[in-house]
Amino acid sequence: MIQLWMDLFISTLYFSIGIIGILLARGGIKLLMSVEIIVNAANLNILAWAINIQDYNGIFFVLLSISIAAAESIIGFSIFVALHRKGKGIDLTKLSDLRW
Amino acid sequence: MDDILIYLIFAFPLLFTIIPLFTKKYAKLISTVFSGLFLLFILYIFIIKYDKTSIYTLFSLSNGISFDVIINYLTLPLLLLVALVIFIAISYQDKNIENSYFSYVFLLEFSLIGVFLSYNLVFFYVFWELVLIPAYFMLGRWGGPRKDYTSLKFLIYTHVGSVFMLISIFIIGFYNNSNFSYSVLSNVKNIPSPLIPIVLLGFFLAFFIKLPSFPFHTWAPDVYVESPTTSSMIFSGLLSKMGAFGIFGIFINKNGIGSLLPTWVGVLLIILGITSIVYSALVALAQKDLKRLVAYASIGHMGFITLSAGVFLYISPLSQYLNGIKLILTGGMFMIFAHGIIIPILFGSVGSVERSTGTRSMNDLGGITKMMPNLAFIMVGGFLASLGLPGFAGFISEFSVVIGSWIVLQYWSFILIFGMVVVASYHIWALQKTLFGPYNNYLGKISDMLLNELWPMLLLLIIAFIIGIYPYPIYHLFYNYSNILIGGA
Amino acid sequence: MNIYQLNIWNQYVIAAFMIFVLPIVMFPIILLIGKFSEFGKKISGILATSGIFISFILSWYVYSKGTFSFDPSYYYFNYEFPWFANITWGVYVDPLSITMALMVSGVSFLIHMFAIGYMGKDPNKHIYFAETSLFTGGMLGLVLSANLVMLFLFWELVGLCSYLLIGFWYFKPNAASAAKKAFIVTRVGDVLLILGLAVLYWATINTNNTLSIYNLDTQIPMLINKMHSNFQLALAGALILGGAIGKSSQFPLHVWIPDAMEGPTTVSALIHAATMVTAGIYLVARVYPIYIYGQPWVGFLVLYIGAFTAFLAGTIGIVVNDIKRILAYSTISQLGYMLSALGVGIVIGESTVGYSLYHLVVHAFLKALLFLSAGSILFMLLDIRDIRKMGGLWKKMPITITAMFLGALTLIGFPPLAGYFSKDAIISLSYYGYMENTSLFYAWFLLLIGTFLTTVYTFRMFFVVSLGKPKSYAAENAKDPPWVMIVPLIILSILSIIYGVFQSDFYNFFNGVYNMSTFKFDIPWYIEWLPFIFVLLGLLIAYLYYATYKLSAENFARKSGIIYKIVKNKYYLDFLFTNIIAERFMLILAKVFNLIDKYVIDGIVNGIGWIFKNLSDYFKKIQVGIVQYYAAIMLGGLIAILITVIILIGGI
Repeated sequence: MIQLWMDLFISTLYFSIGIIGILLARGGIKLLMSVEIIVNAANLNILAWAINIQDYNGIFFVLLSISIAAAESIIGFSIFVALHRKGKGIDLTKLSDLRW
Repeated sequence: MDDILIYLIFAFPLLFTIIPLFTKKYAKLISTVFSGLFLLFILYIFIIKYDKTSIYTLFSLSNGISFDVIINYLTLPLLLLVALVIFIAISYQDKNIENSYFSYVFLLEFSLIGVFLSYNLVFFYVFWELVLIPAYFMLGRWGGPRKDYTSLKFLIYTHVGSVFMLISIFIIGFYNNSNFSYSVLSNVKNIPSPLIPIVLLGFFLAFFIKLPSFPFHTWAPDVYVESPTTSSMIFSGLLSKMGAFGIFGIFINKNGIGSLLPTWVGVLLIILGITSIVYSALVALAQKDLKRLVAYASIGHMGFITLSAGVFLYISPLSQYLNGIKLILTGGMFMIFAHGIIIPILFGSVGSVERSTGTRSMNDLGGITKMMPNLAFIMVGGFLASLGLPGFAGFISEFSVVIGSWIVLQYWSFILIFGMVVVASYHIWALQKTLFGPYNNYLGKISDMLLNELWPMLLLLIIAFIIGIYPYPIYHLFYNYSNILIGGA
Repeated sequence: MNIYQLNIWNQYVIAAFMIFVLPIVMFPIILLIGKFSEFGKKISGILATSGIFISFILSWYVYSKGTFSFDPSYYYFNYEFPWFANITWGVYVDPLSITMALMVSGVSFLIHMFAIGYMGKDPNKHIYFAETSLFTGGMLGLVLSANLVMLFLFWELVGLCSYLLIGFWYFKPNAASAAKKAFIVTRVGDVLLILGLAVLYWATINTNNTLSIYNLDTQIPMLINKMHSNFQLALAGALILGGAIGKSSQFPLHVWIPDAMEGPTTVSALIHAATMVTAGIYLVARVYPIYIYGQPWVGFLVLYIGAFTAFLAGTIGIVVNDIKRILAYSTISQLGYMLSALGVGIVIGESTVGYSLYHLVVHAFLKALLFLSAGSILFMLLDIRDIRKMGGLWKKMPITITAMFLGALTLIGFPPLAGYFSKDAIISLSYYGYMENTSLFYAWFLLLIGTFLTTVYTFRMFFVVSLGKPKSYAAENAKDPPWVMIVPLIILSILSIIYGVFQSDFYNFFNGVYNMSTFKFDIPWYIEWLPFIFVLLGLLIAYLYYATYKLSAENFARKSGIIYKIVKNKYYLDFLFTNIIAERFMLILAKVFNLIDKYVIDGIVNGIGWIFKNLSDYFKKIQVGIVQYYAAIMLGGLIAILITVIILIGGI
């Protein structure tokens, strides 16, 4: 039987993998993939709780969240494509124009 | 019917703001005509509203924030002063200036009228801050060589004071069910006592920075020197009166927050006043720039206002001195009007000197009476009026303040009269170095005062003389207001 | 005697107002007419003179109550209306003020007539006549004013006209500088006067405290029942005396009059001999009850300042060579006589006012006469002022020198001319005061020595100017001035000769001022003739040294050594005021304050700005632009908030 704590454990682990990915990413693609991982982990968490307390409104929230995550990753990719076309590359340590 | 007049008082300057932007060549002519007509309109209102107090509501935003307007003994002469000085300043202005200058002047006039006339603290604050915007541009676009530093200093310095006043206004308003009308200033018992010093400090900073009074005065010499002559007239003649109006209207009103002030605030104001007078006189004696000397003269005059407010606060519990208290209070308030009339004459003459000879440094000038006899007449009249010569309006207020402060100062009065001797000496010294003595031939051939510079200054000089001989119309209003300040009806 | 309160429509009140309003109104009229037309410039002198003449007629009308005779009936009047606060404005006519009005308008009329000739060729003469007309109107307003504040207004007005007229030839640097000095020195006196008025105002705060003269005369006797009030009265009196010292140039504020001689001679005659400098004496006489009812030390102050100044100025007058400066020091000395006469009142009471004023009127005539004759000499001698370059004018300008001779005789107090009656009366009065109160000895002594000094310097001037051989080209070609300048000289000479007749009438007339009776006193006959002995002694000395050159003045000067040097430098007072106080103290103080303002106070303001700018320079380094940096900080902040919430709320 799948119990609540197993789902929560998986989603926390998944979430922390995403955090580490954001902090340690060097390229833009890795950053976006890590953001997706985090969103996925949060969705999993909500689903686990929704089934557990049998409030099925959460499922609709998860569906909304998935679609917004997809839209956001498209925007992110298009930013990086535009940056690449400008010749600036996608190395995050070099993209620091908005500084003091 | 009355309501329409009040709407018009506000609508006319707002309308005049837009009109000069449409014409380039006739901007000055149209502005002079408009401000002259507005002055006649204000004179009409002065006559029909003389000796009455009335409160009008123009529009309401919510229960406690409504645009109320009050015309009483204090605000009516100030309204007249605003219209008069703006008219004189615009008439003096040379017409070769961008037309946006005149719209800034009218916007300034609109905000000033709002500051003096409003009966609601929120609108008072809005207009107070609104004054800074045209002032910043009048100084920053057409000023002298150091205009960038000076306009920024002016903006930030006065704004800091105003922000503290905002805190005070909020405290007063929110402890009175969000009612921000001036009438809640009487309910000062509602404010819990730990917050009272903050309220008093807020108003103190705002008014005494604007005045300008001794420790906070250093923005004034830079601002008055760097701005063009017309802007100097308006700044020293009207903007400083905002601070004085705040002091007499809000700060020391015994029916309002004045009852919260402890007696040592009176001593502090007396010390600040005397220091303003003597200190600014001594610094003025060391100046070489004529306009900077006039700026310090202006600061010195404001010291009399501080002194009169301080004496009132110190002595007012003792009711057997009633005549003397009313004398000194009215003297301080009368200085508002007298100084507002006299200081544009000084700045105007210095401006003429600068335009004709190209320099303001007293070491380079000398004996210019030979070439500029009209200027000599105006300049001698203006400087003598400024040092408190009887026969001009300044004497009445200085005399009242010195006489009234004797009972408090006793032998410290000798410091005050030492200051007055220094004031007389730097004025006469400035006259001697500029106008008299042998003519400095390096100046070449210079032209006399232009007609558009001469007649506004002559008009102000005549008004200053008439007010000095027959002060009753203005003095009576301030005398009645001093009754209110003491705590009577 | 009663002072009646009249209303505005009484013809005497209107006449009294017109006395001083008319010349003041002539000021802008003459100025504008002269500025805009050439013909106006020519008639400006005549306009001013006729304005003053009308004032003189009006004063006579008010004096004699319409009868134009010599013996008026004794009622006087007061009219006031409110000016500001509870201070009033109005006219107060009593023997003191109407005498001054008559004297001022009369002498001013004669001097204006003289000036028509003297200033005839000056291109700015319309400005001159406008300003002297304004001055006369101001002086008349001063003597007729009903309130001390109004008096102060006219006091400053005459000070202003004095400033403008001394600096009339503004392109001369000496003139501009002298005008500045006059204004500032009298301003020191004026601020002391303001403080005196302040003390008076608060001393009468609970009675009718309008500072009007009518009220003061009735209130001051009532005040002495209050505690400390006679100290307050004495303090007020001392401060008002300070104002009088400034305006009437007593020690130590006498330094402005000698320099004021840079102006035209008619200005010196009008302002610095007859009228403005007597305003201080008039003021002390006007508020005289203060000195009687106040503590006695203030009366002693008045007495000894007057006596000391009389002596001091006399000594300096002997060593100066400029003819106008000799007359200036003579004026200072005679004003000292008037002031000390007022001071004797601590022994005698208010009746000394009559003695002082009699000498004031006689001195006005004779000093105007002397200045106008000096003016004639200067006019004909092309403005050479050093008496050592004149000489032998006795033959060249007989009428002028005769007038000067009569004036000199009057000044030294030679009987039976008017000066004997006025000046010797004061000296006798001070001896009587000494008999009553021995601390007045030095006052009498100084005044007596002053007689000797007066004679020596007056006749030194007269002998050097008129006898001997002409010592310069201009002196050789001198002749008598035109008729318009001679007539005033003749009139003033006649007045100087005959005015002694009116002595007792004058004192009787002044009884009306303070409800007193003429003071009669007796002193031993040998004391009474002692001043005349000194006069004869002085004449002998001046004759020996300067007329016949039997004794040499230079040898005497060399033998006196250090004393001569001190006196020649005017006791170093001028040096003290100008070099030490003004240049080395005040200007340095001003520069110090200027530096404080620029670097300390403005430094704090700029310093606050500098602090904030550097703080922001430091804190802006957080914005590095690298996204993970921001993400890491967000993560850290989130963890911190969570921990805080868990700790505060206490458990999951």
